[in-house]
Amino acid sequence: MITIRLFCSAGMSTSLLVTKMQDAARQRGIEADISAHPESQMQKNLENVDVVLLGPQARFVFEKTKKLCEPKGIPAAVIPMQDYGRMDGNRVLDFALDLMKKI
Amino acid sequence: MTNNNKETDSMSFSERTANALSKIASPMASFAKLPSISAIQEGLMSSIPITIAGSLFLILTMLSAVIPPLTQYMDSILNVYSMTLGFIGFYVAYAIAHSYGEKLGLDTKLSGLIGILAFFFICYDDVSAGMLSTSYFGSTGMFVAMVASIVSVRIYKFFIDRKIVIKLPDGVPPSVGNSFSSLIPVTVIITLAWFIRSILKIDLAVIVMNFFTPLLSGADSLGFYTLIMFLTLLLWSIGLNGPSMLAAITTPIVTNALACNAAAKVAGESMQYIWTSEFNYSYLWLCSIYPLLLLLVLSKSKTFMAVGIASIPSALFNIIEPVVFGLPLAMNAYLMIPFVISGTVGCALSYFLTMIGFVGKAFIDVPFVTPPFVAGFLISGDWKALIAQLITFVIGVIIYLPFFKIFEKKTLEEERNAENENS
Repeated sequence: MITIRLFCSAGMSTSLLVTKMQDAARQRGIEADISAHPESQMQKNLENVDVVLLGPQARFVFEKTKKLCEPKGIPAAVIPMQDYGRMDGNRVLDFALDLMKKI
Repeated sequence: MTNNNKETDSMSFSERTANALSKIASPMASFAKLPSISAIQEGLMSSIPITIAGSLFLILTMLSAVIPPLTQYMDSILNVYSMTLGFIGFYVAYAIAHSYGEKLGLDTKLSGLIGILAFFFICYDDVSAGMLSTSYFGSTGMFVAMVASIVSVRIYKFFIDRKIVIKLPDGVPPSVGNSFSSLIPVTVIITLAWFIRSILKIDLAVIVMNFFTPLLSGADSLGFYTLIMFLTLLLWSIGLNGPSMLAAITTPIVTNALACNAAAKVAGESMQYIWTSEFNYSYLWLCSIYPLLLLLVLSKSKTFMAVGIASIPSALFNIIEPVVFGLPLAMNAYLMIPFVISGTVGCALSYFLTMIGFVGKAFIDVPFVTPPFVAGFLISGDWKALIAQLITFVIGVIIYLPFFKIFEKKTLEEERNAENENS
């Protein structure tokens, strides 16, 4: 079971991507808990999380994200623009899995 | 070779722009990240469902012209307005204090209550008649609510930090202990607010309002609005969520504007403010993103058509990330310029058209995901909003066209080259 949290300004456009990522995970038989939240709610949504992803339009809060995630040992990164724009669930899922391996 | 060189030039141009903008944007972002500022913003935003629900009832008052039986319930319907939009100051006193307490690591329930307490004690010095004037509950009280809740929670934090609290023995259950531990800060906050309002007879609500009113009317001007929209578009053109970065400044302005306009509408007075968040979302993407979507869908390029079609469903609800990052529009040397110009021109024009009275001002709150061509008409009750929107949209298409053609030509060439390589 892997837990992925996505954050953007209002959690609106990231939630579009969440559906695509859930489909991708299901097709590959990966058990995943993926959800999207506004970045202001980040602190509350970091319990038992494996990886944190940030929408590219919210990359101005990346410093804050690192500050919150590093002490908990959660890898965090900004989703590449093109993958985000195409709402490419498969590639973003790969991106998340890669980040987990690096820890 | 020359083509490659051009590519690097255009990249470095967008990168240079991005770097310059990040420099401008970073003090903005740090201001927005101050716990007190972001608490105010979050507190105001949490009142949105209340103002939207209240607005639904305001729509009923407009419908009464068409549905006469509604007229007999008018007073009751306006009551709903009074207790939602009209009590906004009271609600945000709690919400801001709650958010701020959360950020400072305090007990959030108590922080919220302290916000309300401070708000009451700062606003009222006489409740002996068994009645409260609700005038401070509305937009008049909104700014005093901001100040009162932030200052009072900060005082609470001061006492907790210095451990000036009543400590009970270890055997006492934590929930009992917590309510006692905060007794001293709560007493001090009440005494302080009571002393200012009831003994010194200083009416902070009036002072705060007198301070903010000139700022607010200054902010709601063609020049300042156009500047804010220009910055918003500039930030989005490098793929940063502009409205969210500028929200620390804009949220208090637009929240107050809508509450004041709704109050004026209900009282039958003329509305004062043009710039509301609802007004904004009725035009911003309609004049800067929709023209691009139209050109994409009509394009000969298969890539463009695919991106355009895929981006339309979310763009209808004001979510523009798919086209901004998918095409991409962000950091795209060909499209950044028409995007910023069409948006700035369109927003300035829509403001101007509202200013001269061609389109009515907004007094109804709707969710930001309301499709713009529905919102523009709904928020003002004025069908001429559709005409204004059509004009800004057409101007947008005209501005995009030359830039788009160049970009399209380049993309078509690339597509042809790719096909040739494949065959």
